[in-house]
Amino acid sequence: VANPAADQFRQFVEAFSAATGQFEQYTVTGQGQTTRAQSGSFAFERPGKFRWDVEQPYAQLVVSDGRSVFQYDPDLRQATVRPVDQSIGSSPAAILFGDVALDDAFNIEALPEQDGMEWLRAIPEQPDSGLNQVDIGMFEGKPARLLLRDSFGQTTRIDLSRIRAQSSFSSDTFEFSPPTGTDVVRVQ
Amino acid sequence: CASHPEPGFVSQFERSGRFVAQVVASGEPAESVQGGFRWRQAEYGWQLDLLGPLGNTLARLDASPGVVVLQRPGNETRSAPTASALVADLFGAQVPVDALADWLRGHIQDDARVQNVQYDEQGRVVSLRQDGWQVRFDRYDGAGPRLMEISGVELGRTVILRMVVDSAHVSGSSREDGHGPASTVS
Repeated sequence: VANPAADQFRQFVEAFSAATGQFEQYTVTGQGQTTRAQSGSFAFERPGKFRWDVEQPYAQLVVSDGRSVFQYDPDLRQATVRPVDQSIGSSPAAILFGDVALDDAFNIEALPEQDGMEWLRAIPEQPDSGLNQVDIGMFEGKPARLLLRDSFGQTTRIDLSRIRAQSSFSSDTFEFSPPTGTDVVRVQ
Repeated sequence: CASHPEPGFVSQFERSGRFVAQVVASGEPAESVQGGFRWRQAEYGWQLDLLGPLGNTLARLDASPGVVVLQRPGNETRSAPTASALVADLFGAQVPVDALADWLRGHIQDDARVQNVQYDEQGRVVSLRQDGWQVRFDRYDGAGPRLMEISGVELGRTVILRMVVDSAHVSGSSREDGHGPASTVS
């Protein structure tokens, strides 16, 4: 079965070994009311390194050094540390740029073209990740939109933009050291 | 699939933001869940949604007089007289979630279990103890504290729940912004 979106996604993985970009995350309630929840920037360097910086309306960071994923919130003074292979629900970056190939962690289905994008549906093989499905819209060889519906009629939409390949990053880009006063909890 | 109908009530007091629930016990793997929350309160009840980092609903609590219903994707619906009995599933301890109806407004429940209440210079509650839980309020706006910490030890487990409010809606006026004072309660 032809799946143009999945083919585009595999080409994206091949073509972009390191890149930066911007995101905007919206929540859409059951009644179709859309509010912008947060926005920021991301970076990744395969295999396995990524960072997802929420900048507005608050600061929040998810960063993976390839071994562990740190979820840090300065307001909550909290850093949760998970092994990379248990972080699929930690941020969109884990799905899009994580080391675990999309086909390994998800069952992939083709969806009809919509809004000018080619779509695929990814259903996590790990059911308890709190996520039942993720739709990924591809445009011009890059992921442009994620749609995550949950069983309460809530949809989260994440728009990605200005994805630019990078040759390399400084060594501390994907390192994280919690500021003093932060509770660091390692979760197996 | 919501067995409990989406509450038609017009919520009079809404707070949404981020939370972390941290459970640390010796001899057990630590647990720490970070995500978003949405609190909607009406005259006779309230609804609390706990959301994952991707915006997916992890759990929904619906409280009406005498009964609280807990819905979690992939689990069957459960109900109990109080929310704290139900959240033991989520947080591994009976965190006093029922008191949020007062605490999110900076109010204290008027009964003997509330002890050592401390106030700031403007007479607002900044900390209290209740049923073995230490509660701290901070960053007040016109409608209540925007930062709250509830911590306690239960069955050998240290449980900390922190909540920070990002957007507030009080009936009659709505304020969707990051930091900074929300509109005063009309």
